[in-house]
Amino acid sequence: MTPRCSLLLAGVGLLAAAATIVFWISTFRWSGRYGRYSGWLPQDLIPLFFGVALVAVSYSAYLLGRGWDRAVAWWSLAAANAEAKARAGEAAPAQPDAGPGQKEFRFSWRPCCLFTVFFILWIVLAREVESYGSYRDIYVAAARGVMWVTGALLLSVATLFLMRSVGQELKTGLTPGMRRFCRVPMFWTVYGVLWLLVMCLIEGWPCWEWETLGGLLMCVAGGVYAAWVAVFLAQVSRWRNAQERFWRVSQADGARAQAPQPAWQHWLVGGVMWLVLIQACLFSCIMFSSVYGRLGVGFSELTSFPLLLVMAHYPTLWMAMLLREMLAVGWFYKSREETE
Amino acid sequence: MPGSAPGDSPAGDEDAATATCPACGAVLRNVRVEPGARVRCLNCGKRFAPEHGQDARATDHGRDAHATGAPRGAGYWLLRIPAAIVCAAGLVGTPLLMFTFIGALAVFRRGIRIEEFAGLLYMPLLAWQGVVLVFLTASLARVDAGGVLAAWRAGIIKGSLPAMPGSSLPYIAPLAVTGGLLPVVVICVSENDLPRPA
Repeated sequence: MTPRCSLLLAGVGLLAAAATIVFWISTFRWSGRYGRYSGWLPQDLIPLFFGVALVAVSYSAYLLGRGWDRAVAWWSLAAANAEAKARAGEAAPAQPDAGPGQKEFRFSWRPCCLFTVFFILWIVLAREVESYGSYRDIYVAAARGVMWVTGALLLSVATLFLMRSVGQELKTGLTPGMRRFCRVPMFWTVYGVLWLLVMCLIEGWPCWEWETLGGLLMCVAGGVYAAWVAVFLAQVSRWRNAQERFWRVSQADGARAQAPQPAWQHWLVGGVMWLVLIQACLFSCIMFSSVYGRLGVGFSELTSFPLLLVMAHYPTLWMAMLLREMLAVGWFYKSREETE
Repeated sequence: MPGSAPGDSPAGDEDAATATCPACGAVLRNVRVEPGARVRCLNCGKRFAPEHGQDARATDHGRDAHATGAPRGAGYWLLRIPAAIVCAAGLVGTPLLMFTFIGALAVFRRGIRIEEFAGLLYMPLLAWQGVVLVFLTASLARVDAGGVLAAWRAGIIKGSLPAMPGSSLPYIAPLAVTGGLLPVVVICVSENDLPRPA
């Protein structure tokens, strides 16, 4: 049974490819960047490269997520069986869906389908608006307003449904600290979509262009990548906990004392977290003193600051936490070998 | 192979051990026994348990006799070698990059501004990412080897795990395609100044 989260990633890859093709078409055919069509040049393929890269990353993330989901399910089942055996001796083995943390990523397709239908309607409406734009200004303004609000609302509702699914996924089998850390991308995505909604209400959605469609697809892809990031780190943490639980509970092997992790492993993770903290402080200073100081701080700039701050620094923290989990589980096995 | 004895690992003769009979002194080669089991001397017929330290190859590896014939992990060298290359490139390239950056600042300006200092602070992350890759892949290998060994000692598995069926190409191809296209894109970008055809 393929986890839906991984399928979602595969969908994001296709989404990214679609966005890239849209961008590519807009560059070549409709934007008129080079005036008339003047033939192919190597640099025209650069957007396609980024599309291929996005598809490759999505596909790799899909395979990685699928493999880790299976590993978590396997180890959770083994740990649940070992615990049942330790508790009751002859207790019945756990069922495949009984282990904590092996619950499948439950993503509801219904809001996605709803979103897709309304998105297509929105595109059709946008085309109609553009066709009437030459002689009906009031109608155009009203219809554009409806279009902006509808599109932004649908995007936000779909994202909130997606993030609610991610939130449910993060409820079990995690330490409170890890759960809070994994929820950061969820909050980031929800905040980003709400920011888009507010900006649409205040400043208006950009005029209908292929770039708008591509940008919107990129936003959706970014949100789903954030969801994957949150779920994957949680799965790695569950994977580690399930293994440690199994080997500690397993009567066949017996419980062994685990040596504390060496200090350099803590520093490798903690040092980077301090570095990111300093970077974030400097980043804030630069944004407010240099960039915003020259351009002026408006409502949109001020409210977009948390988005930029998280986008620039969370990936490093995420990698540090991933490294922390992997070092911990690796040290678990190494210290067991040393205590043999 | 599933269901095979611990000694029947894919390593073959590499895992074979020698044992000396305490009765007649005959040296038995290619001894493969379960941990704690006894073997019968082919010379005198006496049954004995191979003593610790008789297996020269196991002693060389710093393992006990129980580890003889133990299944091993896959090694993950397909991941670890590229990670080591990336790490080495990062460790060498990052100081050079920082040195070049600071040198350029020294040529054009007297002091360093906060924006430039912040940019300088992000550069060590390049090297750190290589280090992370090395430790991640090494941890994967350690988890695999440690898990298989612990399972073998606990009697959960009898030998090395079977190789995964199917090709590894679907796992490698996406990243290889991206890595292969990257130089092409860099070359294309560097040719941006070429005049366009009329």
